[in-house]
Amino acid sequence: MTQPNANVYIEALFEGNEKVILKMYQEILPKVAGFIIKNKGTQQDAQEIFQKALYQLTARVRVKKFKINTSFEAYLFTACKNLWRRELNNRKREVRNDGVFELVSEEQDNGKAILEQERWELFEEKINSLSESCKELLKLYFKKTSYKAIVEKFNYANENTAFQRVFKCKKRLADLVKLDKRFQELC
Amino acid sequence: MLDSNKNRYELIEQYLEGNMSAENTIAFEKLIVEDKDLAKEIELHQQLSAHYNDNYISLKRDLNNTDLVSYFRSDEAKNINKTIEKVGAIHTSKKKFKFPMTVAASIIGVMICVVGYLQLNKNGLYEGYYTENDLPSLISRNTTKDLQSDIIVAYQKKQYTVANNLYRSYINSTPILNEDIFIYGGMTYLELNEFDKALIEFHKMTNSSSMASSKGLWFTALVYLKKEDYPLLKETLNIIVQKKSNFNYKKAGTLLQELD
Repeated sequence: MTQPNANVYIEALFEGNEKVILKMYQEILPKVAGFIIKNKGTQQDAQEIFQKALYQLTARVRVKKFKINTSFEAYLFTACKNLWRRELNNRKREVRNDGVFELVSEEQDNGKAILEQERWELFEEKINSLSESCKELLKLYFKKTSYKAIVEKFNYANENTAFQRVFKCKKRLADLVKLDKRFQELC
Repeated sequence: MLDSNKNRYELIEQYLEGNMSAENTIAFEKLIVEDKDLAKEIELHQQLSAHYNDNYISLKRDLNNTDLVSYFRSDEAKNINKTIEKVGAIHTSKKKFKFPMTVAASIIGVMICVVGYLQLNKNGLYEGYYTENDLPSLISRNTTKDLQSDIIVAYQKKQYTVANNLYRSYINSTPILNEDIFIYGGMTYLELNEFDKALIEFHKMTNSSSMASSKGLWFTALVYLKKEDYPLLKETLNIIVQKKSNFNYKKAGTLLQELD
C-alpha cells in the first residue's frame, strides 16, 4: 500500500486528524512492536514508545524546523528504536541503582530525548561520510576487535600500521563531528 | 608517571581500554579534571563507542529554559499529546473488539483475530530480525569500485530497482567478484519481493569462499521469514544453529524459539 508522504502525517498530527493518526498506528506500530517485543519489551511498551516518538517529532518540527529526509516510516522506526534503547538503559540504571538519579521533568526528558536522537543522526551522517575502509575499520575497532585480527583482515604490515590507520580514521570522524555546528548543542 | 613521549591519543586509548596502571590512571584523571578539551575528547570517544555498540549515553545538559521545554509546556503540545493518546486508545480497543454477535460467528471471529494476531506478530518478526547492520561493509580495491559503491548507495536510499540493475551490471562485467556483494544483490530482490531470485543470490553467498559465507544462510532464513514459509524457515534455522561459528547463530536460536 502506498503511504502518504511525511508532510501529510506531520500535518495530521498538528491538525489532530484522528483518521490519519489511526492509520499510522495501524501501519507502523506493528513493525515497531516487532522490534520492541524481540528486545525485552511488551506490546504496551511499544505503544508508549510509539506515542513518545510521534509527540517528540512534533516538537522537532515546530521548534527546530526539522524536515524528514527519508520516508516517514523509516524515520519513526529509527526514532522508536533509539527511544527503546534509551528506555532499556534507564531501566538498567534503575535496577543497578547507578549513581544519583536526578529528578527531571517530563518536558526536560522529552527535550533530552530529542537532542539524543539528533546526536544519533549526526553520528550516522558523519560515519556515512567516511570512506568504506574507514567505516569498516572503525566498526571493528569499536567492537573491540583485536589489532591482530584487524591486521589479518586488512592485510596490514603490522599492528602499528593498524593502530595508525585506526587513529587516522577515528580522528577524521571526531573532527567531522566536532566541526559540525550542531555538535555544541548535542554534547 | 605518565610517559610524556606518548601522544595524547595513545594515552586516551590506554585509559579507555583500561590498560593504564593505577598510578597513571590517577594522574590522568587529574589531568581530565584540569583540561576541559581532554574531557570533551574522552566523552566524544565514549559516545561514539556507545553509538557503534548500540548502547546509550544520556545527555547531561540541563534543558530548563530552552525552547524545546517551553514548547512541551505549551497548550499546542499538550493537545497534540492528548490526541495521540486518544487515538492510541481507539486503536487498542479496535484491536480487542473483534467478536461477532452469534456464537458461530464468534468462533470464526476469534479464529480470524488469532490468525490476524499471529500474522501481525510474524510480520513484525521480519522487521525485528532484519537489520542493515548485518549487511557486509564492502571494501573496494579494484576498478569496479564505483559500481559497487553505487549499488550500496542506491540500496541505502531504498532505490531497490536501481540497485538491482546496478548489481546485475556489476555481476556481468566483473571477472573477479567481491563475493560479499551477493548479499546486496539478494536483498535488492528480497525488497522487490522476488523471493526465488533472492534465494539464488543468497545460495551463491553460502557456497562462496567469502569469510562471511554463512551470512548466506541467515539471509536465506530472512527470505523464508518474509515469505512466511515457516517449514523452510525452520529447516534453515536448524542448519544455522548447528554451528556456533555461523552468522547470527544465537539470533537463529531465538527465532526458532519464537516460532515454536
